[in-house]
Amino acid sequence: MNPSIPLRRRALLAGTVAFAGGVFARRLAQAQLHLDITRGFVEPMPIAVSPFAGDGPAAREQGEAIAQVVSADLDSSGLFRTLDRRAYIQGPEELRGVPRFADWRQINAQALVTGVVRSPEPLVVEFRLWDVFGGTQLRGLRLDAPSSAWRRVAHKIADAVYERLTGESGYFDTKIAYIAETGPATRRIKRVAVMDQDGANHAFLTDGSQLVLTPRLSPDVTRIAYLVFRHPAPRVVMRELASGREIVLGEFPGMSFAPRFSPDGRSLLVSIAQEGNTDLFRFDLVTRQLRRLTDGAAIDTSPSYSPDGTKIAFNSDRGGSPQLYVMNADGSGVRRISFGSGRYGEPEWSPRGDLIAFSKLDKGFFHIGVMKPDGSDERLLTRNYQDESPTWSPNGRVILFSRQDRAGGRTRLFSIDITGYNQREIPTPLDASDPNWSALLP
Amino acid sequence: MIRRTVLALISLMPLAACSSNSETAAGSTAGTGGGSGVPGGGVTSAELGGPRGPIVPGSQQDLEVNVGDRVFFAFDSAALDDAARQTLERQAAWLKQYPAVSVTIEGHCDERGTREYNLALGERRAQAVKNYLVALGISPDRIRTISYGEERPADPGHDETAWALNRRAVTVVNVTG
Amino acid sequence: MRSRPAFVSASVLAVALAAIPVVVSFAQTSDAQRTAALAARVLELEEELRRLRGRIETLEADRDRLAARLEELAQAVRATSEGPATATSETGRPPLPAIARGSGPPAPTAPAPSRPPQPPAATGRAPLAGVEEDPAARRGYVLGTIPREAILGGEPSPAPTPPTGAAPRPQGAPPRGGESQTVARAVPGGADPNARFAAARELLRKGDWASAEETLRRFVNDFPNDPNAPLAAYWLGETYLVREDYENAAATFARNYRTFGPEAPRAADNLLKLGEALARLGEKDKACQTFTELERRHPDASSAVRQALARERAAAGCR
Repeated sequence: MNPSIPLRRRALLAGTVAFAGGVFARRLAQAQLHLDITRGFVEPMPIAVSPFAGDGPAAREQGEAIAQVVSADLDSSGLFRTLDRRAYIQGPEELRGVPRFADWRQINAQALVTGVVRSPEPLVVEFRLWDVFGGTQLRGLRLDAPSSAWRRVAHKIADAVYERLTGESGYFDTKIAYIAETGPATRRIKRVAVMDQDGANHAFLTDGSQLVLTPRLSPDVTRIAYLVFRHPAPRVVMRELASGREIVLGEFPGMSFAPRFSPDGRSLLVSIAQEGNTDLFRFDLVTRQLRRLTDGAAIDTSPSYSPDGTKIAFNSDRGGSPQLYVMNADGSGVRRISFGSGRYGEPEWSPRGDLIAFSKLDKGFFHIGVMKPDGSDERLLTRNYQDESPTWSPNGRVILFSRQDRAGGRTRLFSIDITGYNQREIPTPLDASDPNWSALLP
Repeated sequence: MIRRTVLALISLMPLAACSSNSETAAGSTAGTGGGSGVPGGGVTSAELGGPRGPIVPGSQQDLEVNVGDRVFFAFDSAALDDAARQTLERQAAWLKQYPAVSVTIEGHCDERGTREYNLALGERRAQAVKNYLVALGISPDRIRTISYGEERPADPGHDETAWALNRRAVTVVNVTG
Repeated sequence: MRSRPAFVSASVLAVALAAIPVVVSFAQTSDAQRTAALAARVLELEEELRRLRGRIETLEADRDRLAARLEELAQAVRATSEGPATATSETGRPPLPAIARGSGPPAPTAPAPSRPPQPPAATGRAPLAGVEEDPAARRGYVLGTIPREAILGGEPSPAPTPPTGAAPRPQGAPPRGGESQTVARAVPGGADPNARFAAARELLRKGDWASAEETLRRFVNDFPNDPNAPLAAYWLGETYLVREDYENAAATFARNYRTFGPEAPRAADNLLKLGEALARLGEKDKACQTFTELERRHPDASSAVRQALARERAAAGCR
């Protein structure tokens, strides 16, 4: 009896694996090469990213750099594993034509990215994505840009690969605004900073002489709104990203904070605190009208528009402790959606509209979690001393947040897939908080 | 319980500082012993003021040392307990004594909340203090409020002691001119 | 003082007059203190008001959930009672108490498994018991892991009208219409699938796992295309699981999923139980993979399944 158990178990496990394999086989048959990312844990897809060929040495150098950025993007998603290029049999110049698929099958690459830099200035790049086992081209694209934008070209290529292989739009050609922090806790110096999604092209937008908080990028990523501690009261200000010019918003009564752009970029939600009472207002950036959305002796703040602009999720203590509520965009039909244990905050509506991310303090720990907009299916993704400020990747697959460890007290940015897997630190030169992930750049 | 003890200690601190001040000021330094190392040489002495120099009446230091410049709050609350009310009654009397002084009430929170919620909560706390002072007869024109949320902790620690110290509203004398 | 005669010296009068503001000022202070106390009291009342509103919000949410749950139960009851008399009498109500698990009492004739298949605390339900379980309801857990039809006897058995929201028929299964005309003669081992299925259910109800296993296995063998085959196969797996025969349980659930496909009734349950059995076998990685697969393939699984999934995942320590 005993010896037979391992055998049975092995057979059983083989059966289980076979059933999973069958699933994949069917998917492959349906859609050539496809990576399903709705699963929690995926074995990363092995992919080869060849250095791009180049017409001339400068072009080749550029091609090498672009391939590196593409590889780093794909690896960071946790869905792909770029294969060590030392194992590549075919060189970049050989790959100007159709690849010898057998060479790539041999190293078990399921997909292959090749490209040619036609001209370094202005930059002209052609890239192709190949299904190695199917022996077909999945995508071909030509990109033109000034050479200064070469990283964006690389991000766009990575987005094209991600999109073709997962069926979801990518998120690599994006920016992150955040607050860079230095100095002791009691006299913290904070600056608005903006960087590419991968940390490159880092820039400070403010000099640290004034306390600044909670930056938010406009949907078209041309403007940024944030809170600045300015006399006579802390207030929301807005700047043009390109010029740095401040766009005057007019006077708000009392302290204004927690700015949020509407999905159409036409208006700005702000919280205004007056006489100890904080309410939500919508400021129309075109007509410059300020309209009250909530009223009552309670704190209403941290709003977030649904992607279609018809609803607003927000944080309120009208029920005695901070909880999440959803209302219509005109302020009507308020409904509480959080009923779990703990104190909720910072609802952030997913760009896909299917989930609301939030932070939550429960039994001494902070969590980043997600729930459906009706409040059902709450799922906690993280647990830490202090996890705060969730913000979504534009495809609604990844959440960026800030984390402070009790021990070191360092505050850093992390990302995590909504499946709860693939948690990664986003390195920043200084401590970082209040992240805001932009939409895909136009 | 622990928190209460801590707060009790804190509220005693101004008094302690006060008495030590006057002690140092009163007890003159008699000499420096072998300080100069010159036997039989001229020994000079000078009166030392308090560690921060003389207290100017109607100044921030006067408020801090002789009245109490801050009140503390329970977690996620802006309610004024008895200790807070007593402090504010002293502050109101002090403000009546110095009618030219105007103040800013700074509302603060501990770090156990979201940044934005805490900005609102800090404002609620500052406003609670202002309302109390106004009810005690101080003109609202003399009192501004500002919330720093969790941005300016008094104690950089990460425990209940630090949090209790950080949930506060501080009355700050406006520097004019 | 102020009643002094008019010939009083000017200086004295001055002192007296000077005293008046002092008196008034004292009166003001005492008024002011009352006002201040009121201001503080308003603040406290506002906080109290918010707390009360919070209570109302929670109570209303609980009430809404209970109302929805009652409506579901009522619908299920309607669906069952509208079925033919034979089906009702044979399946009995409440059916399958032996399988119902959790906070309810153990089945009287069950061979007392040392570990019930589900930890009772989070979701387990004897019928209706969970509704009163406030903390669970507050967390949004209302339905347990036992699907509605099992609780109420709405098992899409010979009844012509399946309960609302019943899973679609498996592909290749013969249409259900007209089967209710077959009058069930409860002859175990006979040629009538409905009677055979009813007999198996009766054995399940009694907690006679060994006989139920035998009957269910033969049912699945003899009537692989019967609409009840996926259910029989699922319950076959349960007979192993409840007896802690995790290897046979896992094998059965895995086979069920392959055989009947993802659209069949109980498809998601099969994956859930497969994962559970694998976890019990110590095959953590496989279990977690299975849970992940369940989540991916059945995003619309019932909340009962999803809740159980979350719990089993945690129990298995899946990352």
